[in-house]
Amino acid sequence: MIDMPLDRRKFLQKSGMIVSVGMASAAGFFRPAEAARLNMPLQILSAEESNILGSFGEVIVPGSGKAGMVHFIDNQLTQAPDDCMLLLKYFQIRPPYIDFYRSGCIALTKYCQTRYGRAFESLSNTEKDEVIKALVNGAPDGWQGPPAFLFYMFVRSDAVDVVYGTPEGFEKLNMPYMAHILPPEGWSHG
Amino acid sequence: MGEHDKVDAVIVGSGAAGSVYAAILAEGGKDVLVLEKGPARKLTDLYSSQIWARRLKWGTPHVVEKGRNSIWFNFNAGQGFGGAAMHHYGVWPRYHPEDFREKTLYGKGLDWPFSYDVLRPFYDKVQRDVGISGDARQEKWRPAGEAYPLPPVRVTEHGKTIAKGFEAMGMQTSPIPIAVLSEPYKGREACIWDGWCDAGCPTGALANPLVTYLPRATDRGAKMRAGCRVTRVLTDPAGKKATGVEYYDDKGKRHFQPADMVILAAFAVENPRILLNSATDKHPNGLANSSGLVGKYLMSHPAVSVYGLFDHDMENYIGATGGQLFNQDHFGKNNTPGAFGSRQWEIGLALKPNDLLGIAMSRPEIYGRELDKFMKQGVRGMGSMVGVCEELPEMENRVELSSQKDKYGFPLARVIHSTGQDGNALLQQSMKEGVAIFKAAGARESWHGPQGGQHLMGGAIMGETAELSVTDENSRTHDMPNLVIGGPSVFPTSSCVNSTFTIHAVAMKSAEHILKNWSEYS
Repeated sequence: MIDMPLDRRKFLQKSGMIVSVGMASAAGFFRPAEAARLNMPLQILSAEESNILGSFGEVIVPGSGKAGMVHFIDNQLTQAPDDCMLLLKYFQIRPPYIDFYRSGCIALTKYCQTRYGRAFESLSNTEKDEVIKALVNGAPDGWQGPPAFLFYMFVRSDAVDVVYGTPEGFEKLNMPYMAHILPPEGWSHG
Repeated sequence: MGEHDKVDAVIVGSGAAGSVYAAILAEGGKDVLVLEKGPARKLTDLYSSQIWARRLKWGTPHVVEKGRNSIWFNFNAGQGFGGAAMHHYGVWPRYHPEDFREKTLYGKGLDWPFSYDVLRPFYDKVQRDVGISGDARQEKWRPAGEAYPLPPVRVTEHGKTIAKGFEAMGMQTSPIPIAVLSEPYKGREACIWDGWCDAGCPTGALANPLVTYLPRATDRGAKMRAGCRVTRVLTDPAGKKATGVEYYDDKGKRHFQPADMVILAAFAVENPRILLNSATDKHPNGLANSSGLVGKYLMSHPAVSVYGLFDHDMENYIGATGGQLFNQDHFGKNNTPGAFGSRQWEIGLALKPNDLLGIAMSRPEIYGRELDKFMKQGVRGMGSMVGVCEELPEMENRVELSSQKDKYGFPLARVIHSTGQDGNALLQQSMKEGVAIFKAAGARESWHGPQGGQHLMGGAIMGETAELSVTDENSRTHDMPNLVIGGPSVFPTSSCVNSTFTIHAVAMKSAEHILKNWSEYS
């Protein structure tokens, strides 16, 4: 960790650019992790989709469940495409983006049912690992849905965002966050 | 339909080009209106977060892509005041003299309708306006021009380590030419090297339009209107002159904005889309398209990220996202065996854990507990650099209208783009060379990512004749005296250099010509 240089401290004091993180919560907003802990109702994803994505994300990035990945995805799916903060918007995926996640969940379940006779969430750790390896390789036998690697990669990115891409995530990595302006702490679930 | 008072000039787009036109024309006493598709963004909206940074980029579906290589439109384009320049990294090298005369000198590509010497004073002028950090003497490949107004950016262990690899390979590095302030300049604060360039720089150290040309424009009375999706340029009944633009606001209401002059500065895809959508009985193939070249010669730089893991602390979180050091040893058009075109390296890019260019995405196949281990190694010991290659102008790479329509009933853009043989060969060589450089620098592991696409150019190129180009040397369309095309759309060649400095210089040249010759235009 580095100490905050003097010029940086001076700059932040002068500009008053640090947003109070407490205000967002006081105004009725929730961080994804808090939303997950409180089991806040989802706006777009179904309970089944939530289970699939949550289980899938947890294997790819351990800790993503607690960090609120499902609530993060769900909240961002309520946004207009231009305002959406999910990585898939870079890839010219045609909105509504829920269609991509939904078809990915269906494809994953079908693939697991065909191969193991059970849904992804019910597989053993070894079986889950086999499934993800097949997706990483890009062409699982019998996969019917969006490109398998993209589905894996987008969920992985969402999980990485909430686990490593926040001030708390940086801290866990011992990486200085060094914000000019801290992002609002939460996402509305009102 | 909403009707508005007529203005001297309506500018479509508020990014690198649109902001320069707005400033120069407003300072020249013209009544200027800028229409921007996205929101009215302020510096205080620019949160330091790779997640929130995605709001600066497009999400609206308007590009249907075909061909072998994506142009990464949503990643490259921007929305909101400042356009794509709000999230650009500020790497500002100049085009080289040979980039302007490729057809004449090498029988490849195209010629610009002017030489480097004509553009040079505009590069110098923009540089003085904006402030660029660098070292002209150490940057041995740099074309003639005024020295940089600011000293080079800080070089950390990240840059120093990778520089050793270049040296071991018999190559040289110099400080990167970057429009990020290493010292206070013209009332703007110096950078504090925290690597949030991609999220937009709220301090004003990076030259985004909100701190460079847009304030100059609005201080002199230019108006900015947000949430305006321009769909067509409208013309008089004879089809001889543009009369203004049609746009839809955020609520879906249709408007007509009359103007004596229309300047399209809406980037390399949207400019051709608007021109093609503006077809009338007098211009059945779209406006300014008598040559049939509107949309043609679309270019994007083939680019590759190269990474290495080192055992010592690389201080990779400090610095600018654009990098610390630079190399153009292979700029010479015939310097890469088996390929025509130039290449360059941007070295020591400040890293963050997440997003497309972050640590995690550098190895997308790693997951589970191994990912956590990799992240912890990466934040301490990862180095990164980007190789950028030239793409030759090919007529088949193009923007045309799709059969799919937007919510206003206008066709979406359909982009056909494949990197040619030369661009592919340059990229392959960069991939091999980059990994070798990291190994020579002492990395215990080094690898490269897949092909990316940086910067968009072409689609309404400039040239000497109306048969072979869309605009003249001053970016005015050959077909319509009061219709001007701003931005990289007019570039006939791509070079391998980041395009934003040249966008500014070409727009400045055009805007000054308009002002001096207003009666000829309007």
